[in-house]
Amino acid sequence: MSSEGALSAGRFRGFTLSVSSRREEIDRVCERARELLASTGLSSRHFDADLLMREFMTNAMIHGNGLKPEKSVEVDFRVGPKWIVTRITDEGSGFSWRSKTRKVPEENETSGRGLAIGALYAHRVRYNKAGNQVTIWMSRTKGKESQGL
Amino acid sequence: MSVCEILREGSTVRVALGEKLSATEVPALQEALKGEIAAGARELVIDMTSTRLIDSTGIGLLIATNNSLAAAQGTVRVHHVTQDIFALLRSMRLIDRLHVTAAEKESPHG
Repeated sequence: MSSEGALSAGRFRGFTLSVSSRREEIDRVCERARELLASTGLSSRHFDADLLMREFMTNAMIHGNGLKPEKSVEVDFRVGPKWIVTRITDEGSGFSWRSKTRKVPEENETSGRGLAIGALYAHRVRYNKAGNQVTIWMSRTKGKESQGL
Repeated sequence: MSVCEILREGSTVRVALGEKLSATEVPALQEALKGEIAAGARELVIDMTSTRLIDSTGIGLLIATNNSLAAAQGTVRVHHVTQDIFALLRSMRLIDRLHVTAAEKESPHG
């Protein structure tokens, strides 16, 4: 089950998709984002946008919704005059994002890189108070992001 | 293209990946790599010539594979990655551990 809507308000273009918590849905949302970036001349930002979307959608589906297909993840993706903004909301009770490290894990660790990637590739990452909604800002220009670790 | 194509040469196995290595591809690829290690592979060459996208789940699989092989005195080599993927793996401090080499010349994205 999914629902979607297209946005084109003022100088913003984007879409909103609500998808079930199945990993293959991530591909569908990422493909929509790729198409929008291409149509707005921002294909050079595809890798970074795709990477960030996959990381935070995976977190939402696994840690937020427990990979339960009946629970949905809403993705709002907008391309504006300065920023590419992605907002991802899950149905979970949230997580304690303040206590999570953004440091790169040891080389032999097989997990725990999602938040480090967010810190490296996004200009800004903000959670709501509950921790079940994250908003990610990316610059339209490569090289202007990265808050560092 | 399927998740991967596998070519065996003795204890060396070359695995050519598809367009992306993400949470979607990892379960099937993990089983394939486990099978190759169980069958005696000691050097796994992951050819990412066609791979344009990756995520942390895909990175985790590369590390897990290397961990398994290291326990058997084997190794993983990740070859022909794009500049974007190389930069990501470098930022994760994995270039040496996974013996990563970049593609000499990238084909246009898309």
